[in-house]
Amino acid sequence: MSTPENSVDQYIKREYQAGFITDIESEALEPGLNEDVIRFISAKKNEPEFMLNWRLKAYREWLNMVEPQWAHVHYPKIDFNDIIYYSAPKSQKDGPKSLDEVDPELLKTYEKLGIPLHERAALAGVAVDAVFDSVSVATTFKEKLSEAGVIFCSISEAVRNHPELVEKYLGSVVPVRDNYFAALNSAVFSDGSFVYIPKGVRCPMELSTYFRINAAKTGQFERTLIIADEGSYVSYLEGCTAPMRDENQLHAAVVELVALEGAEIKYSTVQNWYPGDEEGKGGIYNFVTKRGLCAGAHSKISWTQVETGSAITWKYPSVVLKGDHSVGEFYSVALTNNLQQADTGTKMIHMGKHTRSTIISKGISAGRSDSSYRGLVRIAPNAENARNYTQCDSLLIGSKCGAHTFPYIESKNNSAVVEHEATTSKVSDEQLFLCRQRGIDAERAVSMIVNGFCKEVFKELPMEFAVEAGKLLEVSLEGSVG
Amino acid sequence: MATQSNPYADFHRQCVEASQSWSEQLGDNLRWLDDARSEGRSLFAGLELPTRKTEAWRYTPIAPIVQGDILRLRTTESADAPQGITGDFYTLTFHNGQLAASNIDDSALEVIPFSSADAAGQALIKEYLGKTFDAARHPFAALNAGTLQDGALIRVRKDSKALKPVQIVHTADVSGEAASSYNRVIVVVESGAKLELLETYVDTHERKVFQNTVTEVFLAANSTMTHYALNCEGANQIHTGCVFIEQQGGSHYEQHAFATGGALKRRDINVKLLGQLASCKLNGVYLAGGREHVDFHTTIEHVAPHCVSEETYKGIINGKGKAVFNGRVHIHRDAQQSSAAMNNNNLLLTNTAEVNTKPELEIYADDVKCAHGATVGQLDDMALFYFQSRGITRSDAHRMLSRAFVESVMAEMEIETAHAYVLELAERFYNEGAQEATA
Repeated sequence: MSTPENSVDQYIKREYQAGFITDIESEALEPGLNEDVIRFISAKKNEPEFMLNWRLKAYREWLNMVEPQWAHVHYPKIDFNDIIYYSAPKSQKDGPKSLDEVDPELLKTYEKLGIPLHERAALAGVAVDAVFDSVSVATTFKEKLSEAGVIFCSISEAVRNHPELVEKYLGSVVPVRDNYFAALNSAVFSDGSFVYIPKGVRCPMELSTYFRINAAKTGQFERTLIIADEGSYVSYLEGCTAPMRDENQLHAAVVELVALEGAEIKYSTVQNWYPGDEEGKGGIYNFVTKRGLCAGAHSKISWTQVETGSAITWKYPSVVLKGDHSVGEFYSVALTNNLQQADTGTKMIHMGKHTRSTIISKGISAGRSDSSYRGLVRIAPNAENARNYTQCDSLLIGSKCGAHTFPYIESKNNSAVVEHEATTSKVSDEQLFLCRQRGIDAERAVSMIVNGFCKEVFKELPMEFAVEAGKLLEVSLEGSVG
Repeated sequence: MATQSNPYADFHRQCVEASQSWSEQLGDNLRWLDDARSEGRSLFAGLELPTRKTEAWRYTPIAPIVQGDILRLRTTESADAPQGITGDFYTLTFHNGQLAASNIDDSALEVIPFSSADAAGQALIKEYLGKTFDAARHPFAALNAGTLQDGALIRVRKDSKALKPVQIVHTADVSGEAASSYNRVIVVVESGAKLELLETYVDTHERKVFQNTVTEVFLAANSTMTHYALNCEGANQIHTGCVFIEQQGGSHYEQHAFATGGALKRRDINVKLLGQLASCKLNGVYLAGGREHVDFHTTIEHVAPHCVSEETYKGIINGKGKAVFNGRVHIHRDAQQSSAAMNNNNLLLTNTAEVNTKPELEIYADDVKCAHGATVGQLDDMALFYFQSRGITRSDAHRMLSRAFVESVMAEMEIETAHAYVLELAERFYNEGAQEATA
């Protein structure tokens, strides 16, 4: 059984490929958090008053809250006063009007990451609202989208240009005092994406944002809000990488999705942030609150995620199924290695009648990592004929890692049917033997088995992402393929 | 974590005080337990009573205990107490928490009641007392340790087997004011020995009783124990029971749990597989109707490699009943080649019934086979229709399907009289369910 371990060794020794630091001047605040910092951020962004008040309210709530301890992760205590809450690339006063105005250093960064910003964006058919640290620098495909009536801009722009939508929906899915990190985000969020799909519109292309944490010691507090009006459809892609560094970086994002009657939102994530080195040094703390609200009947929200990065992942993309006949889906692959820790899963809150949800979670642990699935399926008393199917499987590679499952099932309606299944296994000797018997060498066999293990999730990803996700796993198994 | 004021702080203080004064009142024959008691009591005093924010008690509010007016011990003897299962057993009875009768006479067995232990017996009891658990994690076991009204140690001698199964009956007076009882059972099965043990918690009718029990089981290498834990309390009874099992290599433990009735019932079952090739099997059936609340928390720790555990719990919830199942399997780092399977299936008969289930796996070894499954559903309409289309009334069909749902688990009870006893109680439950469903 040396082969799977070989592949792990290869993975462990693999350098973090997206690791580099771009040296550009940042306009940053001193580390620390108080009401003045929040006023500064708000003023910096020319926000209307309701926004400032909302932020201050969140901050005051946050002060009274306690950092959650229940997750199956361990990390040194975070000093929230040692974090810079605002950092923007310079010369952004009026925003760049074209790519020529964008700092060339920035563009180089994107190039290194292979982000299709200009031509490549067109080729890929992707509109990119690229977020570099905290301010949106360039947005493409605006015209094409605005023809369809789709609003796709940074959330700061949305606050200024569409305050009525922002005021109505911001915090409607994740209220300010939802949890510790969501409250913090509400108080200090720097930027993020805003999407509004009008009634009956099928968004003409897949929308995409690349997040990137750059300036040292900058907490990144993204805020994303997506509203799909009646009968509309949107597919949104989110991908992340971050430069290599030795200090832990906190990332506390909030993503809110609202699907009105008959609308469908598909949200896909490939997360490959710096996970820390072999000793677990450095790496991103990824404490994210993601939640979708199926507000109207026959609406649908689908989360797909491939999580391979971050030192610590604390993330539960959830769906509140409020509208009758609404559908929630969660597909996840979480791969942890070295000393990475992931506590991830989902919540499906069934409130409407005939609501359905599917959860497919695949966890792969290697090295000395720990991955946990934590999920909640709640059937409210009025959720007649609600239906849930959950499957969470774990694959262990190496004898020093851990895989855990904490599923909560709460049912208050007797017409609901809830099913939960979970298995934990390793790549078994029998499977390997069967492959080798047929002339497939052991290394390829392991790669095949792991890919097969994740297939159910990969097939839910949009094309571009499926390729990227496949690649990520391939790299992790490189040693075994040759 | 910031400590918020615990809503049960007052009751907690009263508990500590009551426990203190009870200890002082207990007879001289139990003085030798004073040290153990005060240790348990100070531990309990240092703990917080669980609230809904306590993860292990998230779905089980302890309000019935707090509001129960139960801080009273009852020592007066009355013949008027319900009996356990009639059958060919050795029987040991705890009446109002005190050892009342025992007819055990078997060369394979040694029974030492706490209240009449001689010096050697006391030393033996102290050797095992409280050794299986960390009281800091089980507040009601800590309260039990702090009070220790009475108890018994049963030892099965090496390579031997009792002629009859042993039944321990936990009973109380049927009338009188509310009260509580605290006793401890210690079971030591020496290497190669076998034991069949029944613990029966009987219905004390309308009287409000809070029964707090702890059972500690030590299975030496290659020993076998079959344990029946039959909780058949009345509507007003409150029960918190902890069972802690430590298994050495090659031993086998099997538990058949059955629970019905009771305002609040909380069972904590903790198995530690400490030696290679040890195996355990936990079966459970819970039937909660009316306003009953049943909570099963099980933990199986695979500490040594090559161990096998198997767990099946099935429940039917009717009326405004509530059921909680929390099964946890913990595979330690060195426990390679472990195999663990856990299943929990629930049937909700009414739309006011509620179930919360949480089958957890915590795995730190890679060469293991673990699986768990949980379902929550209702009786299949198609199946009911199929019965009706063949001339069987809906209520009969309802009854038969309910019975079929749990019988696969109950049928594994090998002691016929015990099986028949719970079957009768279950039958009553199915009838109520069928009546409500077709009314």
